[in-house]
Amino acid sequence: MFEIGILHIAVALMGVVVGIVFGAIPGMTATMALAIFLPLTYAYDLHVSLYLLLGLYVGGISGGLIPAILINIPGTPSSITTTFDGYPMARRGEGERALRIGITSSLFGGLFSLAVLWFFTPPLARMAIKFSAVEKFLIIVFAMTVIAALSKGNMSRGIFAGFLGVMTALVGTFNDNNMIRLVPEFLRVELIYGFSLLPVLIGLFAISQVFEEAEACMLTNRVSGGLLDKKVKKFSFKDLKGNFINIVRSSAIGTFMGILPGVGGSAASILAYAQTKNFSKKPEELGKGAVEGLVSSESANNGLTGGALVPLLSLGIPGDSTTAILIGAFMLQGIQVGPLFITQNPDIWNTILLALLVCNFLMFFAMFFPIKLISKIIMVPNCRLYPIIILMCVVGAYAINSGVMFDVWTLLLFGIVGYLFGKIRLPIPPYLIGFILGRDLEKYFIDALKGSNGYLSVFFSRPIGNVVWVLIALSIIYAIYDNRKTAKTA
Amino acid sequence: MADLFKINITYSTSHMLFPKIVMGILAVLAITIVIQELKKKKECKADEKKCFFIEGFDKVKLFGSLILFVGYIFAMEWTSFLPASIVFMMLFNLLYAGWHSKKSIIVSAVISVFTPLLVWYLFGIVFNITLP
Repeated sequence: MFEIGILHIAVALMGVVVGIVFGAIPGMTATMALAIFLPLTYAYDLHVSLYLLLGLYVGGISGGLIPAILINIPGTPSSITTTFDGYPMARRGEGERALRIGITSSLFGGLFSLAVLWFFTPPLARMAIKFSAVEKFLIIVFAMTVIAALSKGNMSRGIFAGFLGVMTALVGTFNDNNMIRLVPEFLRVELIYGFSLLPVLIGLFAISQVFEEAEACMLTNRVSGGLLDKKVKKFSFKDLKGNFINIVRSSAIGTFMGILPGVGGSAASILAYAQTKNFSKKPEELGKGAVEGLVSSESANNGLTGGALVPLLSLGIPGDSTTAILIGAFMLQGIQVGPLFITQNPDIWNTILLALLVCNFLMFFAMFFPIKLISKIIMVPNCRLYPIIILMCVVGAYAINSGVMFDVWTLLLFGIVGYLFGKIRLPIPPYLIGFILGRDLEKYFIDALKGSNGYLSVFFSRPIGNVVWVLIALSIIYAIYDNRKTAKTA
Repeated sequence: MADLFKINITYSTSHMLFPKIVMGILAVLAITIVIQELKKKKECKADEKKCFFIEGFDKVKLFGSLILFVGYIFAMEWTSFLPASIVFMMLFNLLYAGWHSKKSIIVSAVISVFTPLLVWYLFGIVFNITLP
């Protein structure tokens, strides 16, 4: 039926803990953790390997919330939106509470996606495979409307930064005709594939912060005004009261984005955050340390875990780079994933479900209880913490493509870019969102046009696409309304 | 009329199609921002002089960070991860925490020896990750 024993739980726990460490270090990802441990699975049978690999996967996705909340540096690309509300909470002295809320939401997101994986794998896979380039393009545009929602009171600058990010993403080779564009002659070798996401991300968030702190003499307190001594709000599960619909909606968005093959995972938490803002009763609170925002981001990025397994197990298509490595694990054991996988290997299917369940709970316990210790990081003085951050960022940036020094230069370059953005009041998150989604936006735009001989009407020709158009319009109208309201009150 | 809503995709130039669209959008947005800024300036006049750096900014730390970072990358290219990191961790620590008290220097030295060693052992040796 399925396999579980002490060995299974032990390797799952090891996987989860190592995964959390990888997730928590900016530049190290769940994908990297899986790639490192994949060779180890030669020694075990598939069931034990699955516990280890799924542990790494769940841990790696979840660990990103720790630096996102405590030091405003997203540990993984999908925890960008966690910084929006998590860090302001930590600054209010509620770091521990924010971490606990984040971890609990992660657990809910993970369990939700597990339920979806269990019940809906076959029908959902059938639906997602019907999505053409048009729907995928529109979903990316929909995710990008969060830029407008994020930059209220300063919308033109936010959108400008977003498109600047898209432009940066386009640097490098265009896959359709293999032509290099927007690259200076002397960097043609280094930039042949464009800038890597992780050095850009870490540079913008971590290194630019180092420069800002250096400018301010390393004196800024991460916790404002001695709030630690006073009574701060403690976490209780009641914090999540009233967030039930938010959790379900965000987990569902995360899971569904995971199911869509080829749409990057980071889009999930961005889209979920945008929707939470649209549906929120107090949208002006989001971005200032609202529980809602944190819950939405974390439940969505853990929703990915189960979602990305749906196309992997039902169609043999990986939903993201991490699950692509999981395919490797199956291949090592001589097992073919695809439409017949579940009927031919019911015991492995059950083990996957159980392992995912176990790993989600292990992740929760491994992070929830030692949190007091973890949150002490905020007490380390800046002048001691930042050199270590620089070291970790350099290691992460260098290792992401297995040893490219240009990635470390990219890290520094985008650190300077991020610092200058602060000076000319261009917001960084929209820029990064544009950068993350830019390549997909172009790919699906061109693919859709190619399929229609260049007629733009193709974007209005599909029923699901038209539903997404309505959602895009509503999202933009709401953002404009919200922007006006903020501008008036300011 | 239908041609108005048609984009011809030529294979050899298709790599510049989307960048051109984005550049167009950026140009429009840039003009909008400039007009908005000019309007704002008219409204509040130039009574407050804006400075690029924050008031009383720390020149040594800011430009020192930049120079050390560049030096760190070159050092890693010339030597290897461990010696470069130990030396530059020490320099970063001295720059940020100061070199006026003995205690502070000792703390800097301990951090700059142990952190790179730990990272090197854990990631370079145990996990076999490529380090500079």
